[in-house]
Amino acid sequence: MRTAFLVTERYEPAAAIERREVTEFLHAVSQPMTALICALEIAVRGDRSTQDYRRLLDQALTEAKRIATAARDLRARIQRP
Amino acid sequence: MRMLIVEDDVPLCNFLREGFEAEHYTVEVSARGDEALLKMSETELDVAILDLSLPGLDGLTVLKRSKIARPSLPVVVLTAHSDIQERVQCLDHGADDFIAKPFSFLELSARIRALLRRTHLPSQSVLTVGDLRLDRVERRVERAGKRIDLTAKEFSLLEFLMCNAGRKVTRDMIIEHVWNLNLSTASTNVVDVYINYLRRKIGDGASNRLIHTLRGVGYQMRGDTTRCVPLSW
Repeated sequence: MRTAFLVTERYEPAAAIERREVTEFLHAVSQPMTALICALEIAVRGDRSTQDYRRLLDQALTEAKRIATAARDLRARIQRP
Repeated sequence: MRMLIVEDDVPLCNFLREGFEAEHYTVEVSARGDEALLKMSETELDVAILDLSLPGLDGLTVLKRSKIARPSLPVVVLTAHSDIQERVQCLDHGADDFIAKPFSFLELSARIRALLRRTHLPSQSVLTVGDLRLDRVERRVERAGKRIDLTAKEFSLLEFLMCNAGRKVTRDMIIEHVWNLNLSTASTNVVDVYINYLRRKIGDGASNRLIHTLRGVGYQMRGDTTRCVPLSW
């Protein structure tokens, strides 16, 4: 099984590998991207206290960092020799 | 309106909950498929939002089984994939709508409103008792044609009383359905306080009383009603 996997990996065309990596990346970032959009949409609706804005912006920042981490992982995988 | 959000991503689930609570929904959440199925089958709900990737039981199985247990419960499916095959599969298994991540909260909220308009008959979306009228979708309350502004909790309380017009409702039932809590009312007078707020706002005087106190029991809404069978209560 492992050998079969290695053979597949070795002979998989570069374009197909990239396509697979990008698909996995999009899947990984869809969750934090949705959370980020929702956080900002909720934050700008209605009047809020400074503390409440700060809480939502902190949470939005956490989601943005999740996206950044996924992007770094993708770059590292694609640039791997 | 009572909503269940089934989503295992905690931050996203919290944002959705906050957003929908701000829109006056009574929100329950679940992060596991097996737990969600139980809630969708047994809890009184008006709509469910269901993610497909779940621990415990996958979302598609939850969808299929919930539609067998309660076919009338509208379900909006969330997924990280957007391929046609998956969309078709979800719709074929009874999903009422489908939205792919990443999505906008505003769009999801609009889709829920549209779904509720489609799935609730006019007689079910508008409740009337006497000259009091409550529109569950537009979230509008009027008495004798005059608009009344209510807080989210007051609205939910009035909605519960009107859905059960003619029936006796205990304080414990109100706490469970309106506050979403399972606790004894012996330690709190919050229900009585809110009933007083409501009575004041809807002008419920001795001559035109709709909300009646049943000593030692709870409350009962009385009056001519066009209420049909409650949606899920």
